[in-house]
This record gives sequence, C-alpha cells and structure tokens, in this order.
Amino acid sequence: MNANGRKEDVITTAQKSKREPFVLFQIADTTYAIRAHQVRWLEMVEQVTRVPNAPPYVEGVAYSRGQVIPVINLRQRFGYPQVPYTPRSRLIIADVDGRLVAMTVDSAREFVYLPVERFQPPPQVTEGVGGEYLEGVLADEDRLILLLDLPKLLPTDMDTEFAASSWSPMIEGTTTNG
Amino acid sequence: MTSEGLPGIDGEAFLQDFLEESEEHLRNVSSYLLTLEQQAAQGEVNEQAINEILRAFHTIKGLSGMIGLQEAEKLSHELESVLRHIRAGRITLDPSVIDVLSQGTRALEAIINTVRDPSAPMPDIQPVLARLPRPVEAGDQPSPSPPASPGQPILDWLARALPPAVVQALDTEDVRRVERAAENGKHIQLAIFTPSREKMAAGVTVNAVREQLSQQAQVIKAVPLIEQVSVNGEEPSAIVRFAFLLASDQKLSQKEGLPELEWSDIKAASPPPITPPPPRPSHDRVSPTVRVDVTRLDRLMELMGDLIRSHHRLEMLWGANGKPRREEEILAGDVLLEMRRQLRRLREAVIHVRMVPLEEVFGRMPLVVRDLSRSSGKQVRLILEGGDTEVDKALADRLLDPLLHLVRNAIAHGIELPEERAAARKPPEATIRISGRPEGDRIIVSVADDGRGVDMDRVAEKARALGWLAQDEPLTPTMALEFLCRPGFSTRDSADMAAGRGVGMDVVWQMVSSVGGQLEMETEPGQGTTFILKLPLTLLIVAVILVQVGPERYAIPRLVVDEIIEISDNEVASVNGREIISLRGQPLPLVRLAETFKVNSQREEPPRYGIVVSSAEGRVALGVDRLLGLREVVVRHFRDPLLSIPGISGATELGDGRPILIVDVPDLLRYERARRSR
Amino acid sequence: MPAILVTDDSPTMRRMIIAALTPLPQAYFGEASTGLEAIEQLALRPYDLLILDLNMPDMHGFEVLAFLSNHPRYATLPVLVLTTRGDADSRRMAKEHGATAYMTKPFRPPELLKTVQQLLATSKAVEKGK
Repeated sequence: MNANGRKEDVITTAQKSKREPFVLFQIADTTYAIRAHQVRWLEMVEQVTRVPNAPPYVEGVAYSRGQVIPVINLRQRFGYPQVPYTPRSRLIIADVDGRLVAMTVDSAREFVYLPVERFQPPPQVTEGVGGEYLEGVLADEDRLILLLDLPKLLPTDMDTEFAASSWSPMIEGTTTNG
Repeated sequence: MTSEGLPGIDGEAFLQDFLEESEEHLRNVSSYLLTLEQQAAQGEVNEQAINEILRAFHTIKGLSGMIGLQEAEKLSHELESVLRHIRAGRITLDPSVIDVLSQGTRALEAIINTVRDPSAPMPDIQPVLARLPRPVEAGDQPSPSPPASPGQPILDWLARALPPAVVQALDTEDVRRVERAAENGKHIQLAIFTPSREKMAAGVTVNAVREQLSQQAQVIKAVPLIEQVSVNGEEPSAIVRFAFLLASDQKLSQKEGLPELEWSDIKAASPPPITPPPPRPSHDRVSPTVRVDVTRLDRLMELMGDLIRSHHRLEMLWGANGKPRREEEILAGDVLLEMRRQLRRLREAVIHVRMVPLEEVFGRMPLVVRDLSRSSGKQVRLILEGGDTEVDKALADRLLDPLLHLVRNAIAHGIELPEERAAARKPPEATIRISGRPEGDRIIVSVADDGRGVDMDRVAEKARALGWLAQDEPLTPTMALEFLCRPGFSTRDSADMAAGRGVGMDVVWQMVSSVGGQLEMETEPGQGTTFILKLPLTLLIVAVILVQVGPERYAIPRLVVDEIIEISDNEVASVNGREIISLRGQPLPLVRLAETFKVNSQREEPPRYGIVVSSAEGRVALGVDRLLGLREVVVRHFRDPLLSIPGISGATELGDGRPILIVDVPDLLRYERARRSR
Repeated sequence: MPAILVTDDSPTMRRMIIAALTPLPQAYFGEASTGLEAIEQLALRPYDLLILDLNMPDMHGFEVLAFLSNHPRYATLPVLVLTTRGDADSRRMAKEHGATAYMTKPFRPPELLKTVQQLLATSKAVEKGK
C-alpha cells in the first residue's frame, strides 16, 4: 500500500472544511465511523441465528423490519477477542451498494458531523484493528476516529474470499460426469 | 417519452401497461407466424393469422407513438405495411418473407425491451428495414388471379334465408366463406343475440357471446341490427340486436351452453367431406383473463405472509398459559383452528393467481429455433416437454432471456452442420430438448442439445490465457461452467451473431442466482450439452416441518419429505463409516443434521427422529432431535453472497423475531455426498 | 355530466385516452374493445360522444360509422375518429361515413382534451336548439 498516493487522493477529493454526517460506534474501546447515509437503522442485538458453514465472521442472520439480514461480527472481522453481548451492544444495519448487512458492535450512540478533509490515510501499522478495512483516520479532539470502508468489508464474490471456509454451490454442486 | 405527458396520470403506469400489452401482442405474432409458415408449406394462406399479425403491429405502432418510442413506431409501421401488401396479394407469402417478418418481430421485441431495461442497447433497425420485401408494382407482374366470384345459387339462397341487413353486410369474401363451408358439409346457422343491461351486468355481452360462439363455430360475420319493436301496443322503439352468421361441424342450439341466443338454421350439413377439416388453430381459444401487475400480487403475498405470522402469534398467545379454562377461550381456539384452514386456502388461491404455465415461455422458442437453424444452415428439431408445468409469473418472465440465450448458444456453438454430424455418424438433424418439471419445491428447467459438447481443452486454454486458471491446474466441469458464465468469456474469436448479442452466459447465471436458484451443466464430447436451471417454484410461501437439532431449529420443506420415522438407539448400524438405519427392511442412509450443520450438541446418542427425504441424489433420513410441527412460512431466500451456504436456501421467522433457517434438501444431499467423497 | 364511450382494441390506449380526458368535470367513461361492443354500449346507455378507433377486429370503424349514421337514433351522436391511420383516404372515408371529427395517434393529450371539449359543447348546443 502506498501511503503517499493515498494521502493525495484524500486531500484532493476533500472539500474545504466540508462536514459530513457519520455514525460513530465502538469496538474494544476503539471508535469507528461510517457514513450516515450508509446506515439504514440501528437495533439492539436480540436474536441472531447461527448459519452453519458460513465464513467465521458471519455470525448468522437476524430478522429485522421484515427482512432476514446477514450479521457480520466486526470483532471477529477485525481480530478482537469475542465478548458476550451487553445491553449496549447494537446491530448497525447498513446498505452497501444495495446489499443490506447488519454489523454487531459494542455500542453505537453518536451521530456527528465530521470535517471530511481532515481524514488522513490510515497508517500502515493498523493490524488488529481492521486496518485493511479502513478508509481514513481522524484525530478529533482527544480521540482517534477510524473511518470504515464498508464495501471492502464485504466480499462481493464468494469464491475468492471464502471458498476455503465455505462450500460454494458453483464449485461443487454439479452432478457432471467429470 | 413524450414531454408534454398525460395530465393527472402516472407515466410509469402506462409504461408497465405498454410493456405488458406489447409483449402479449408479440407473443401472438410469434405463434401466428409459425401457423402461417406451417400452412404456407401446405399451400394455404391463413387470412385470420395475417389479420391478427397486422392488427398486433398496428396496435404496437399506436402505443409506441404514444410513449414516444420512435424506433418501435417506425418498425411496426413498416411491418404493418408488409402485411397489408401480403393481404392485398402484392407480396407473396413465402418462407423468406416469413423469415424477415420474424426478424422484424424480434427487433421490435429488442426495441421494446429498452423500455424495461434502459441499459440495453437500442437495436439498429436499418438492416431489418432494408430487408423488408417491396410490393410488386402494378403491371410488373400479372396481378393475382381474381378470386372466383361466388356462384349465383348461393347468393339467392342467402338472400332468401337471411335478414336483409345481414345480407347487405356480407362482402364477396364472406359469401365465398359461406360457400366453402357449405361445400365442406358444415351447418350454416344464424344466431341472434339481444343485449340488455341485465345480461351485461351478468357478464353476457356481445363480446362474450362472440367469444363463446367462436369456440364452437367459425364466425363468418357479426352484424348489428336495429329493429322497431312495439311492446303492448306502445309506440315502437328501436332495439339493437346482433346477428352471428356461423359455420360449424355440428348443429348448435341452446343446449351448447348458449342460452341467450335465438337460432335459425340456414343450411343443414351435407354429408361430411372426405378429408377431415384441419384442426382449428389454438389461438381461437382465448381464455378470459385479467392482467394484474406482478408488484400488486407481490404486495398481496406480503400481506398474506403478515397475516400468517399474526395468526401464528395469536396461536402462541392462546397456548401460552397452559390449558384454556373459560368457554370463550375454547371457542377462540376453535376459531383459530378454522382461521388456519382459511389462511391455507387463501394462500393457495393467492399463489395460484401468480402461476402461469411454462408454455408461455416455451412457446417463444420454436420461432427462434426455426430462424437460427435456417440462418446457420443447421438442421434442428425442437422438443418441448412439460410446458404445462406451472411456475410463478415473475419466474416465467425472468426465464425468457436465459432460455433464449441457451437455445442460441446450443445452435451457434453446440450443434454441428449436417455434414459434420453425418461424418460423426449422427443423424443430420440435431435435437434440442427443452423441458420443465417440478422437483420438490423447485422447478427444473433444462436445455439439452445433442451437439459436439463443450470443448474443455479450448475452455482451459482460454481460461489460462485470461489468467483465471493456473498453467498446471486441471479444469473441472464445474470450473468450466463457472468460466463460461463469467462476462468476457467466449471461445469463439469472432463475435457470433446469434450467441453474441450482448446476452452471455453471465446473464443466465445472474438470473438463476438472483432468484435463489442453481445452474448446472452436463457435457459429453460428441454427445451434447445439457444446461440445468434449478429454480424456486413458488417464491414466497412454503409448508415446512419444523425440527430441533441440539439448541437450534430448522425448517424442512414438506414437499421433499416422504415420511417421518422414529429411530431407536439400537437401530443404527455403521457401514463403511456411514450410518444406516432400516426402513421396512430396506437400508436407508442416516444423515445427522447436527453433524452436517456442526451444531453444538451434547448428545452422543443417535437422533430420535428421521425425516425421510428424497431428491435426485437418492433417499436418506435426516436425523433430528425433536419435531416441532408443520407450518406454512414466508420464505426469505438468501441472496447475499455472504449467505451462499450449502444446504440452506433461506430463512423464515415465526413471530418471535428469531430467524429459522430453511433446509434446501437436494442441495444438502449433494453437499453431503461431496463432503463424504473428499 | 358528459358520457363518453372510448372504443379501441388496445386497453392501454383506452386508458391513455381516458387519462387525457380526466380533466373533464364529472365525465363518465364507457369502454369498448370492439365495434360490436361499442354498438352494444350505445344501445344500453345514452352517450354524448363516441371516440372510435378504425382498425378493430370483426367490425371495422367504418362499419360502425355506417351503422350509426343509418339509424336516426344515433345520427346526432358526435363521433371522434381517433386512429393511427393518418392517410388522406382514411380521413375522407371517415368523413363520408359520418365522423364528426378526425384525429391521429399518437395524440397530444391537451389537443385531444380540447377537441373533445369542443365536440361536447357543440352537441349540447344542438340539443338545446332542438
């Protein structure tokens, strides 16, 4: 990853002192941000049904507002240890390019406007906090806010990302004479 | 689109109407063109078919003009002119003309499709327009021999037998039709229908009567009459009636379910002709239908689902506090039970409304096959099977494009030229077999050809060139299918006209996966290729058996369940590492769902119940711990790639907010087999 | 409250026509898909205006016109021929068979509305003059 190249991208695309709405959430005391327009709704974590043979970061499916939605365990995805859900745990239901996905987070309580031009490219050493899924980092007063790159979080084709952990019907479902 | 718009009306609503109506007309055109061709081969000209095609193009022209679709307006206008010339004898209806007409029809279809799918390219109509036949100039060629004028006897006879208004309304062609019918030994009858408001309120209208008559007779002419009738000496008033001049094999009367008519016989049948009359084309049997927007039906299905879940909630509440004590509570229980039955019937009725026979899609194929076989010089016989299989309307609509592509593909790539086939000691005429059949809660549609099969070496070569396959990596048939379905893959270097029309195998795959189905391919070098589409039959609601495995619940579609058996501990035997139970003396493999689904279960002892299921993979018993009952549930098929899970097709929810996974039994059994053979 | 009978074998076209005429206050719209049905409707209910397509199955628009103009009961009914055929012959024949006005499809909704308003106003004046 070329940090310098990324940095220029961020600077040139950002508008001068333009502020945009974000939803902030916490995982293991780290603050993450996602763009508010990607968030459809938030919910308490209630019933998540485990889905067998799914990728490990897919916790299962949840039923919410008439829809069955895949639930991504962000702790697992980012490599944090698992903890039980608390009353503060939330499901963030996001719309990523037309796909509805739910993400489990430790808490989600803030809706803020952030100056987008102040986001810096993510530092290279961000292992263990989901560094590869970050779009930028912002130092806001006394805390660090990590901006999540949602599309990166979601594999679009199953055979590249988790063919190893799951079974793709395309690959093995055929009853050919081969 | 017309910019001035239509005041007070949602333009989108008309687009939908436009699409539905145009597509219906195009379907009719396709089938009439086939009729024309078949009859032209026997030297007959079916005027009715020509008129119907003409009117379809005419209507499409008018509608296209209204929505500002100029290409369609222009093309349908030109096609209409060709038919007018054919009708007037200025163009001879030969196979090449039918060819051009069907090409024009398909171009029109493609243009109209750009309304549905704005990303589709607008086809260039110039090539089609350039190929349209020109009428023979007057004087260039002898004009078609004038039709033999009807003999005087029949005119006299009709003038005596028919009311003057009817005689006046008949033109020469009508009289000739009467003459021919009489010669062929038909009954000629006149039926009079008197409309009234009461009859209209009961649905007995002149159109309905005409429709009914046309199912039993040839309607030579329908004529409105106006008569002065005086009731009880009052001043006479004018009454409108309709006279139908009919020709039929058997004498019709009130008994034939036509009670509203007054009959008079014009001519009794003479002895039957030596040659039996040709069967009437099937288009005559137009069923009375109401067209409903599918989105409205979807809404209905959603409400249905909500209702079922509310009912389930009620049932849970009612049963929550143990046994009901008060009399009202017992009565409420009865009502709940009754409601469940009613909901089931309602559900069946709603689903049925959405169902259409596959024939609606299959019917489009003969014309395509005919065109392609002609233009490619390959001989192809098309066999359609299972056209009466009913599928969800939305599914039928989505099926058309993939099927068209598979058929084009089969002819362009799979099927060899007659010489090549002869050299391979195959019959010169190739066969494409399109069939549909239900399997469990799925519908299996397959397109099979007996051509040369997929050239795996070439696929591998191309995949390696594209960097999709490592140099030393072997190509499996499943990988081959996957590559074929990727956009940008084609083993032909030059874009083939038929197969390369912007619709690739990726479209087939997209469609299949978008409805939660599966695509499979079987191919044998020199023997042919079969593509199998496995699609959900009903899209939203199925009956399931709820089971518990360890702490988890699953739903198994009832349709794939043969029976449910109890398993006692000592019944389970192990053969070659597989567990087997005995069912009426027959061994039956046992698949523990707990194991397949990696359920955390403390139980070491065998499952207590076996759900006996069968699929193409054979019969097995799925081992579960508890039975929770039979339910009708709303299915949410998984679409997200994250949830592309073996043996699971989707989920449902029973009112407690907790999703229950729905087991896809055929897929599960295939997965089991693959897992074990690893 | 004017009653208008819209005759066209295309249901979509009928809906488009009626949509264009919805600004008419309190109008009643009847629909017919064939010439026979149009005559049936006219027999069973009084109408103030007939909108008539030409190319229809069973009974051509011209035949409908001929029937109507031959019977005193319908002779004063204004008929607007609304057709995709714009050639001079059709126009002349429609006039000869007794059409009151002639418009071609595709039509512009405001123009159709205006023509229909004029026809209705004229027929009202005729009624009053009787």
